[in-house]
Amino acid sequence: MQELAKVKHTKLKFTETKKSIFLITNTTTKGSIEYHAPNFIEKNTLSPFRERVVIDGDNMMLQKYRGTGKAENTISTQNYSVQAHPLLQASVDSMRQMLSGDFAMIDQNYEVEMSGVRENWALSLTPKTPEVQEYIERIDLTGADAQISMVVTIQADGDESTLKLSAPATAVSSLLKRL
Amino acid sequence: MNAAQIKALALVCMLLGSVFIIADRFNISTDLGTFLPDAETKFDRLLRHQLYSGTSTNIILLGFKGLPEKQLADFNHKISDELMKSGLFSVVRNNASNLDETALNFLEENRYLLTHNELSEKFSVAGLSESLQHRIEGLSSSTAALEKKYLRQDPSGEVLSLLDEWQGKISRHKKPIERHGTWFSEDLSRTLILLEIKADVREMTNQEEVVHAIRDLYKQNKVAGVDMIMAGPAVFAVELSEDIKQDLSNLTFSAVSAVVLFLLVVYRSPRMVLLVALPLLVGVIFATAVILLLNGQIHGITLAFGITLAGVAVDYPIHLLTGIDRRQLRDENRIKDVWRTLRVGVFSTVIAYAAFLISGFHGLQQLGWFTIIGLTTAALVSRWLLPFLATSTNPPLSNSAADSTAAETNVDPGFFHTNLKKLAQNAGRFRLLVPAVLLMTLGALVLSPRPILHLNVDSLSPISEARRAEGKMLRGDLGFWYGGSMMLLVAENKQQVLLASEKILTPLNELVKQETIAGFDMAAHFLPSENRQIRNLEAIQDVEAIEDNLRLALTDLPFKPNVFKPFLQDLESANNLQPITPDAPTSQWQTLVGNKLDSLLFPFEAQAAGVILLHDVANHQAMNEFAAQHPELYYMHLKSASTDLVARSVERVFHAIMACILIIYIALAFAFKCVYRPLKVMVPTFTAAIAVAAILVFSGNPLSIFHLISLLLVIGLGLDYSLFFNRLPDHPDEWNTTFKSIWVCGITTILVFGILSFSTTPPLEAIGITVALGASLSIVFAAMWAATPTRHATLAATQKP
Repeated sequence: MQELAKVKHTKLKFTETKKSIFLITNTTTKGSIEYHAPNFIEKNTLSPFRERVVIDGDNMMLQKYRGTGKAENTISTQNYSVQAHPLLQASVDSMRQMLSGDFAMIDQNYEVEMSGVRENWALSLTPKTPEVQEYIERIDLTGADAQISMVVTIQADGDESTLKLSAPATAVSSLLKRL
Repeated sequence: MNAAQIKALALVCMLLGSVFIIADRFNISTDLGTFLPDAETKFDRLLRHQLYSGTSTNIILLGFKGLPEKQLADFNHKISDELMKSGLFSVVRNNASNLDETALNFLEENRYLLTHNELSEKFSVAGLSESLQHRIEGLSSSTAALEKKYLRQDPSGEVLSLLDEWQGKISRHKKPIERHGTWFSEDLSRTLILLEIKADVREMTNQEEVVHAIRDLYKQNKVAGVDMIMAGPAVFAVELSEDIKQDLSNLTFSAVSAVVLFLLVVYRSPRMVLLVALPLLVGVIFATAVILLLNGQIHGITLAFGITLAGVAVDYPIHLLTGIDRRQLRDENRIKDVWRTLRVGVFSTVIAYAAFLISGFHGLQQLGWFTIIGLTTAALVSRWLLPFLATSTNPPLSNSAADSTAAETNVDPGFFHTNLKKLAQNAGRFRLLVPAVLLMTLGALVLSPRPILHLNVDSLSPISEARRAEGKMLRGDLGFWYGGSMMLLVAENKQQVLLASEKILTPLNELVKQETIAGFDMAAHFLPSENRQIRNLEAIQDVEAIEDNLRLALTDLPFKPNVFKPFLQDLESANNLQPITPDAPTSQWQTLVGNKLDSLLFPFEAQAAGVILLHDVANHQAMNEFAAQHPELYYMHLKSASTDLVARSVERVFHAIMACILIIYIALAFAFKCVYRPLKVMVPTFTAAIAVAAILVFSGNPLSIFHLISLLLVIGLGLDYSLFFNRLPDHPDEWNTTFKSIWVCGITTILVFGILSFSTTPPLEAIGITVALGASLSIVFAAMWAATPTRHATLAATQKP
């Protein structure tokens, strides 16, 4: 955790697999996530459709696109106040706390179970507050050293999201340099 | 009792009667619509409706700035709570307030009625297939939570697209930014609140109550560093009225003091001052009473303006009483003599003000009646009542002869008077200057490219540029419609309007694509026509067919079985749905739609009209052409349309004034039984009026309606001066009496209106400058022209020590 706290800026590629109670098969999206301390997160979904979410402090901007490359068209841009949407608040807070290594906050809001070693650790977070419990049952993280490699979010209604993160080559080496 | 006494008594009775009537019925109207020009064509009437009671007249926008983001947001929340508690507003919003449960449920239950989509297409195999793809995408995206809520019952996403239309938007143009739960401007420097006033905004008192309440709440809760900006029609109206009231009370006090002081200096008799004031007071009282009797109420502006007639009405007693020897009063010859001239003047002034009666401005009509009645009464009181009062008490005369002369007359051949007399008597040498000035200024005005008339509707409602800009800024922050461009649809009833709007939806969307407009709002966005709703209901009748389509669409898609059972169940119960109509009484519909529809769809005369608000019109010509292609569709750009309306009305007033001037000439010709003499009297007046107009126009002030009203006043005053100056060639002894009354009148007028010209409210300032200048020039030109004999006669004969 303390290692994570040193992270000021990360750029990662992600593959998100979602399990929905409505679907037989899982859906997979791919893209990139960028994080700037203390609370800027940008998630760019590149396939199979284009979507961009930017969370900056209290503000969440969601952009949906159609078409690709030169034919790409923004079909909608929405701005939400994170504070006004509880589920959003819960997800964003947990993501941010994890990415920034804010152990104090995480400890406050979740029951933390840690296992493994520094090169290969696992973290299990169970929400303490009823507001978050309404939506999230548990969050399981795995990682190595200062990097989170996987986040599994188990939602209260049975849906699951598995987020696999991998640093682009350059990012890894810069991370390694810092260790 | 002789005739004179009877007349005097009659006047007293009139006065008493008036006081009774006023005490009984006094009612000041502050209805702002009275002073808009009357409308003739349907387009004009629509325009009037929009200007007066159209979109957003009951809306107030508040902006707070000067603090860091989070603190602004906190402040915003606090003030919003207080405003909500005040009970004065039907809406207090500072964020995209997600619709509450009731509204959301209503939307969901009636989604097939309210949707813009053609359900026959949406529920075809292809349509369902496409929708289902979107749903899968949605589940894997960041909006999964929202998708999940409606997925099972609404695979075609009707609720989602309705939410997009309905949720958190003021107009479809732009959704304002939200931070910390409140709206912010794009640069995050201002946080915003939107208010809708509950009470009827056409009553000034309601507006005042609201604006004061907001100011008080702000003051009570203010924190260091914060600043508030208020905007909205009600706010501007209240500020304007406060400015005018403030101005008027300051200025009235100064003007009255100045005049009283001046008269005291000239006549050295407080009694004289009272006598001068009396006809004016009686005139105002009587005029007020008559208007109250006929109209039931008198407009605040009429009263305020009517009182500036003080400038004219004090002239009558001054003419009659100046130079009157107390012994002469009993003789009455002098009075009769002066009265002969005076009544011609009064008559001409009355004709001049008759121009208001035919002007087509309803408010001006009341003003016209007030003026005519007030002035006539003042004149009559001066003639018939004052002589009694001036002689009724006999102050003790001193013993010495010299003293007695001084005491018995109020003519004091003082230093000032003597020098003025010299000036005036020599003025005749320059008499050719008058026609020269007339031709020059007339020529300059006609030939100059500068606009003569100020036709902008802003001149009728003078909010300062800075405040207007603030209003525009706040509206822009919230994505509020501004710019004043709209289209209006007129049809037999509301349903027909909705139908007609739907017909032009596609071409309008084309215009958006071509970037001729950035966007548009119309009632049909929120409420599809009954036809459309019924069409959609019919499309979902055959549930089995839709079920088959769904099964086909689901092949090869990873949905679990029975996911969409709720969808099919809802289709069954959709049979019970009734189309929603604009006047639907259900309270849920009212909560959902609020006031949105009222301004976009309303009854108009015997029909109904719909407004299509246009955002960012890039090409007005194109919009005009577009409107021309459809029957009963009007393109209205508020600013230019109202300018047009004002222009036409101002032109009418202008023509009315011209006509009245002609009538005055004819009347004077009859009175003097001579064709040339009226010219002698009218030329200097006319010249003065044109000269003032030229001075105004060339100093960058095109003539607004207030300037025109003032020029009329100048003509009335000027004729007065001219007529009296015109006595002098035939009665050279009157240089000590009549001439004195002229300059006393002149100075009181210049004092009153000169002080008025210091007003910060443009209309009052305009009136002040115009009349002060005009009166001065009238006297000068009258001295030059009217005071000279009609036939050649040397000036030497008129001069006397």
